[in-house]
Amino acid sequence: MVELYDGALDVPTILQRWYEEEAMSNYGAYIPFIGTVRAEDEIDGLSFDIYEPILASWFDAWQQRAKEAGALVKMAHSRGDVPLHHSSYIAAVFSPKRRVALETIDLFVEDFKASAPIWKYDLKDGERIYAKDRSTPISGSGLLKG
Amino acid sequence: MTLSTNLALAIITKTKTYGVFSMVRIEFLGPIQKASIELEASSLRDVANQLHHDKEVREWLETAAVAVNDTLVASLDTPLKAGDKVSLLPPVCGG
Repeated sequence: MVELYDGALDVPTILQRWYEEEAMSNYGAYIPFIGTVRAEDEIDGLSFDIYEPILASWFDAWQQRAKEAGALVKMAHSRGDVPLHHSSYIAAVFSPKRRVALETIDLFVEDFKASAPIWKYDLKDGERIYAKDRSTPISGSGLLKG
Repeated sequence: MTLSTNLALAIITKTKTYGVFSMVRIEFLGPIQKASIELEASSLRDVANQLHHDKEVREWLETAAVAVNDTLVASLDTPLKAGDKVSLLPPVCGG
């Protein structure tokens, strides 16, 4: 299940809880990826919209794919505004051996960026501006263009 | 042929050619700043034809993915029935 939070993520608490949840599951590797809002282009922070039904089915498909490799995927993401130097995204993979976890976290994060139905906005001078140039059309886009 | 037979044949022909038009809801996600609308359509092709006339939406058609009842679809021939939800998903950037 994807964990969604309003505002910035409490990274230490989430990582520790995930560690403890799987401490007795006999996984040899736990590899987290943490996305943090950087100061660039004079932004005050980032903001996110999420379409939860399709995010849930996308994540379920990934969980099944990870399971077939003997791995487990966890993910947390922010809704709404996240200030600079706070985190909006955590993904983590648990697996018996490191190689599967390293490969899975790479594939998972790349597919997340290309497919997860989440929209990013720059917060700048009190405005919420769609990050159009940094966004990626989902595979199959343009169907209705005619 | 009786009148009723002719009428039945006409209905069958129309159904086969154009499909049955039903009321469906169109939902615009993320940065497409537009409230949901309802349209009559038998397939996604009908939705595409009608959205091309909407100035607010037209610019997004090139880059938006489409889901019917929360499942992404890849064909304009996807049939629609009454109460279906069609969602337009513009380019994404999570993380």
